[in-house]
Amino acid sequence: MIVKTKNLSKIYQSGETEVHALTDASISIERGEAVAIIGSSGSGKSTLLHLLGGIDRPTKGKVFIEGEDIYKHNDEALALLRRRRIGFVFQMYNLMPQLNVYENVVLPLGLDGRIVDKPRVVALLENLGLADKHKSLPNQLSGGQQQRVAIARALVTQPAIVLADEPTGNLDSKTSVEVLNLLRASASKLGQTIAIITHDEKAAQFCDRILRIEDGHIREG
Amino acid sequence: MDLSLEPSHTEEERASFLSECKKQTEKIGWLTDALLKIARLETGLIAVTKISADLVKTVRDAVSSVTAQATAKGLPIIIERLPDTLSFAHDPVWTKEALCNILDNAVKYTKAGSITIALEQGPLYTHVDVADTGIGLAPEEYAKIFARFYRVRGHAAQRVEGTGLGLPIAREIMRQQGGNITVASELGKGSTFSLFLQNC
Repeated sequence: MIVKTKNLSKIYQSGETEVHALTDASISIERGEAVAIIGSSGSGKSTLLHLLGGIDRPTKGKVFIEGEDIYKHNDEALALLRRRRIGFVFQMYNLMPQLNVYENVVLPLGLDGRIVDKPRVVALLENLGLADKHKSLPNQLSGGQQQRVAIARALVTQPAIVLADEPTGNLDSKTSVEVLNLLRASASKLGQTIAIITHDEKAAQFCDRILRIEDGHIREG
Repeated sequence: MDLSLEPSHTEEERASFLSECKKQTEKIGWLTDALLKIARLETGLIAVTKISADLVKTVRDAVSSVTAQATAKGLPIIIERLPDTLSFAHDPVWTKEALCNILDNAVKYTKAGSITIALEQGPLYTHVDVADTGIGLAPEEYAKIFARFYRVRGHAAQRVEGTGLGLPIAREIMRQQGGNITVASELGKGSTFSLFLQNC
């Protein structure tokens, strides 16, 4: 089991009222699985993503990544765990504009003082259709290409899980299919566990398993 | 089978029992074959090997295998966009099998209208689209139909015989080539299945 949550709940205080964003979510994700977490806006899917990714602390319950209770750590240790064990892909790509494709991809390795395995990075970029784009700056790339760079950056550290938050939310339908095909194929090749958080049923079909979230409650299927 | 051996039955009844037995035996045979196929594909006992071959021929061969079935139902198969030839790295035998499974479903789940085939080359993937005017799917079924043994809910789908293995086999074949299958659909209007193959 790569990720496991136990009775995970998050309550936000909004003035006098309590908002139950997530209620008693107990899920597990196996190594190598591709899981879609589907929910509409306000369903609690972003809250779940933040809790799985060590971005926000739960009101109640636990998150285990590779068996380790991540919220037992202080903020500093949690930040380190996030960098080493979790890969993020966001809707807006979040690439560093002044760095080229190669530099953006190896950035998380550098931040962690890890050695860059250049042939591995080159192979990864090739798998993602970016073989001839190593030296391009993000603003010289299309949206689909930028998202593929972000995917390479998430995969390069070989994290326990890649969390992709609406990864095609900013792309047209043709490019979305292309990006999701590549994300899925690259993850399969590397045995990488991924969770795609989306509102889109079309994106969910790239995954092996679907979890649905509605009003903060999660269910299989 | 036992019933057909009882002497009290007429020849006609026996013939009907035997005919039913034959039908069921064929079904079990097909199911066993499909199960073995998916198990062998998943465990790597069957190798899907990409070679440079004519992808258009692969598509046309698959279409030929369902033409009789489609004609019997009065469904025209329209080839919309297909070059004359296209040398492309794929496994022709297994890709044909994947396409046959998709086409077979298109014919089975379409009562009237047509089935349209198109091939499109994108920058990273080339895809073959099979569009039908059949019963269609609700969005929450898009992912489920690729799971083993899943049968689409609803009266119209349940009336069609199937094992729920054709689509998982087809997807596994495409994934083993670095490709995939996706679906876009609308209930009551039809579905389009796209078979993706990586350009390199």
